[in-house]
Amino acid sequence: MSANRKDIIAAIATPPGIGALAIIRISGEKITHLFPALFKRNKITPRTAILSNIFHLGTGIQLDRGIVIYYSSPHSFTGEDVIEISCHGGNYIPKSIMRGLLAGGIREAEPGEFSYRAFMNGKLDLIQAESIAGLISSRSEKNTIGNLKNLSGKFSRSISLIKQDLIHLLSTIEHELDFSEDEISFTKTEYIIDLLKDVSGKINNFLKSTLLGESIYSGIRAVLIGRPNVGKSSVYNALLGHERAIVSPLPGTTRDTIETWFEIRGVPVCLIDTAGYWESGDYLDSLGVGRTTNELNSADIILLIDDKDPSKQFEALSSKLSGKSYLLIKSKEDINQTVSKNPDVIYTSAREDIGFNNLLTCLSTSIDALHENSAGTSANFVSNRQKILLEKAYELLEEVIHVTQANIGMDIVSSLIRDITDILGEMTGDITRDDILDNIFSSFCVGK
Amino acid sequence: MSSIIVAGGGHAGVEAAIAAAKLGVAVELITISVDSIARMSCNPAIGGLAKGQIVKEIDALGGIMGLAADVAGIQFKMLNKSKGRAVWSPRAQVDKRIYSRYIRERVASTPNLTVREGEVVGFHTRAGAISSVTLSDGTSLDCSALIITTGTFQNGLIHIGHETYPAGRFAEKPSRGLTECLIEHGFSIGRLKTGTPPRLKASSINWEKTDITNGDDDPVPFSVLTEKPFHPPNIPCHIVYTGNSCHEILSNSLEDSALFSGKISGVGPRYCPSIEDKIVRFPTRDHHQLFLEPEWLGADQIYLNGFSTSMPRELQLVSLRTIPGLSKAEIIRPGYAIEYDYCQSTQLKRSLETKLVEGLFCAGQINGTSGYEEAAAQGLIAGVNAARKFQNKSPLTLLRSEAYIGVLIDDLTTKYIGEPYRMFTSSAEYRLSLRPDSADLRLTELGYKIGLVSENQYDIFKKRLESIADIKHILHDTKIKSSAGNNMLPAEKELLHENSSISSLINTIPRLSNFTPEDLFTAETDIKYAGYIAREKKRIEQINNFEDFVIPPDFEYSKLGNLSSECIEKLSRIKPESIGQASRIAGVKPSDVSVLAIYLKR
Repeated sequence: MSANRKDIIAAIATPPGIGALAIIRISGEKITHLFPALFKRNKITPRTAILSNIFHLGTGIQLDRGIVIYYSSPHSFTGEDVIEISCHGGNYIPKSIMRGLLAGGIREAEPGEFSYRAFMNGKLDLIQAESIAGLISSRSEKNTIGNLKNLSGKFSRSISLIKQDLIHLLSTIEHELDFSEDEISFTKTEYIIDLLKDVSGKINNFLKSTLLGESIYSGIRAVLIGRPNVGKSSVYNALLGHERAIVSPLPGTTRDTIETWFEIRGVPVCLIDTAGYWESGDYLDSLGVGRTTNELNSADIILLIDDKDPSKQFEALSSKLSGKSYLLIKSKEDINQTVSKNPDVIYTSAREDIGFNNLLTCLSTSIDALHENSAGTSANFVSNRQKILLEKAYELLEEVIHVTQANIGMDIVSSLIRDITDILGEMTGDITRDDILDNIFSSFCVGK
Repeated sequence: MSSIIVAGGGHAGVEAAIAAAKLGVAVELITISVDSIARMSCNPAIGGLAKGQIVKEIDALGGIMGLAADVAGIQFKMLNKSKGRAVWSPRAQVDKRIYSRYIRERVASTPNLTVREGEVVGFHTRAGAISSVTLSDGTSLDCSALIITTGTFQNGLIHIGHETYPAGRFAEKPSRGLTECLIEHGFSIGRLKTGTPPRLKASSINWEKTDITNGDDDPVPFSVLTEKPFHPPNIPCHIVYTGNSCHEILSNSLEDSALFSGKISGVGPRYCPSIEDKIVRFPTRDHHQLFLEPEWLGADQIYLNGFSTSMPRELQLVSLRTIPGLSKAEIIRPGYAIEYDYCQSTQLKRSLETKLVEGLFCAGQINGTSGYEEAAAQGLIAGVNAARKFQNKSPLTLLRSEAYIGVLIDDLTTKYIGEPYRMFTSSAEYRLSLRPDSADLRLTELGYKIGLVSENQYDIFKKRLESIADIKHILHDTKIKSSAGNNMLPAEKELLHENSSISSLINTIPRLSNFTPEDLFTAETDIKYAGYIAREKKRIEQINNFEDFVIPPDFEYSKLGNLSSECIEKLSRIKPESIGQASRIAGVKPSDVSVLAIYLKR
């Protein structure tokens, strides 16, 4: 990243393709000198939308007419002078405006360079920067909310509070190591352990609450299972037929599964049909091995389908499905109609389109329940990097509790606690590692 | 003409002079009185928490303090034994007379080193570099480097109650002139305070009413050069306790204490408070522990550790006599507080050369530190670097991850020292790697390379390295019955159990009895701590990227518009030598560090 260049950069900030409007963003230390050539104006009032003609910086030809907002440094996203031009969309006009800017010596921004400048200018902290990266690539509404929450710095603050607790404990321990003989009275080991357990509990809660955060990043995985020929594929297709918001059909290329993304009330759901490798051989045996097991393990929700009695099937499989969230689906209601209905089972017929609205509602309820279980009301949306750090911190906390209990040495206890505070500091960006910076900003798309 | 002049013969001065002379440069040590060389002006002990580690490091680098303490020690104790091996700290009560006599002899017998009685009162520069010094008698001496190690003598002012008089130490004249000269050359100078307790007449103490505290039965010497078996004297110290009546007298007379009457402008050390300070700060405590320590073997003079004070003489006596065992105590010398000038240490490079004047080095209390050990460590580094500068060699600097001395000097050159700086183990973030027993393993190779460590010491070191490696091999190769179950496992694995120790393995693996307890201890600790040390090493590696990341001395921070003006101001003033150092300056935020790192990386 050409981090320290102070030149003027520009990029089309909206996605490529057809759209009524596009936004072009320009940022640089001083850019007011562009006004005369670009807009035929000498002055623009900051933070005020104006309607203006837009001109080619090289040829002076008028390219479009649009809304222009000027933000003066430091009151802008990047902390520099920023101009945002809302012009007509489509393929041609935004690109011609960009060409006009480049003709005036402005450089096309690299991916993430606007956010990078914002970070360098102290406008964003690391978690906020990461959230922007997440925001841009977020697949759904809930994901966006989560990222916005991080952007406001709430997550950073919670982590910082935990870190404060640890630093306080550390100073107590250090105090004792430094003044063993004379003037101070010793802290009881139990007190230290209680505090560590408290912190460990908090981190664990975070970890739990991040589960959904993660699944919202990567989507809820709903896996369809059932004996051969019970109509899994029909249910699969019918479900997708009912949900028009298909995001990206991804027929499995390297695996024998079919995955399709769709969205239920703001949550991206990846529906996985395992038919491909269960149709042959003994289905019950296959449940215990290899990829099948992996698929089941990574599933957030299991849709167990049967054309006779899914609850009976569930009993047979219960050991393998324990702890998982599941829905029992009776298929082929048009042929094998059930006489005495079980309230826990959803009765469907793909052919006659029966029961799928109910199925979608149940799926949505299950997703919400997952949400509740894992997060209470305050799920935290963390990136993979952050989650790994949280896990590391949790692991170390468990270790330091053991070391303290076993009375192995307060020097080691202290060293481990320092490690943990470092890890938390890394999460919030209080500890600088340049590889992290590079990673985060390189995952941006152009224009942010 | 001597190439290097050392001004001051205290603990910093002697290490500096001996080290520089050993490296082959002509050194002249100038002291007000030859008799006062290496005088211990406060407590009769060397080492202690974190300080003991420093002494081990000085010894590992070829310095003299450890040897002197072993020769003069009259009671050895490993402190903090219940708290983990990285914070175990060796301490010795020493005979002050033997201690300074031994060092005087070493100074006298060191080739290239001459001693002159006199007082350095100023220095001169040519083209920004030291060219000569002036003595109080008007003598002018040319030199290419000056190391200032004048301790508390610069404009020293003693306070005893309402009494105030200029002094460098008790009954010794202060120094004048150097401070003023430093100010003339643009240095900023501050004022600090320290104190010392009264000395009591041993025969006036009722010893039967005191508690006894002994040294270790298996004393461990500081120096690897000290011959074994090591059987120093084990002279007990005694303990008495202050009580409410003592506290009452003191707290009723606070206005008489120089400390509380507003007479002292210098800031004192919070961690080593005077007795009146303790009473004010810990009002709920109904007693404080005091140690009665002999100042030399058979001394009639007892150091009352824990009772540092600047109360008037008669109040010192009255309050002391309320203490059981001291009801008839007589004071030989009252406690006092002393104020002195110090030269702000952020004006130093990590070599301890000043940034403002080439060839000028400062070490010891003049840099705002307290303690013999901290002073000696700086003296050693300043002496080595003055000599290396003369020889056109790159300076010796130690990292925070290498030595407590590295932590000490990094702290001094990076942070503003608001109170006398004392070494703590908590200041070392890589403490597990800085164990006292590993000091030689960390530093002796380096000390040998620069020419400070003798062949003899280097041989001892190499043998130790081999022994430790042998022990580890034996423990790796020998399978023994696990204490937990009945299965066989390598001895090194068994050693990882919390309750197993290498001494318990000697019966099973008799070969281990061929090794010294010191080597067995280090090998055992290495194994037991391996996992934790590995984790710490990882942390060090991450940080060291930044330590190696040099900032040019003339770097203009103001051209980085991204930094806050506070940050620019601090960085411009302290001029850190690396990004690592920059990151430790108070007020420099992590985001500032990343901005700086990324800018310089380009």
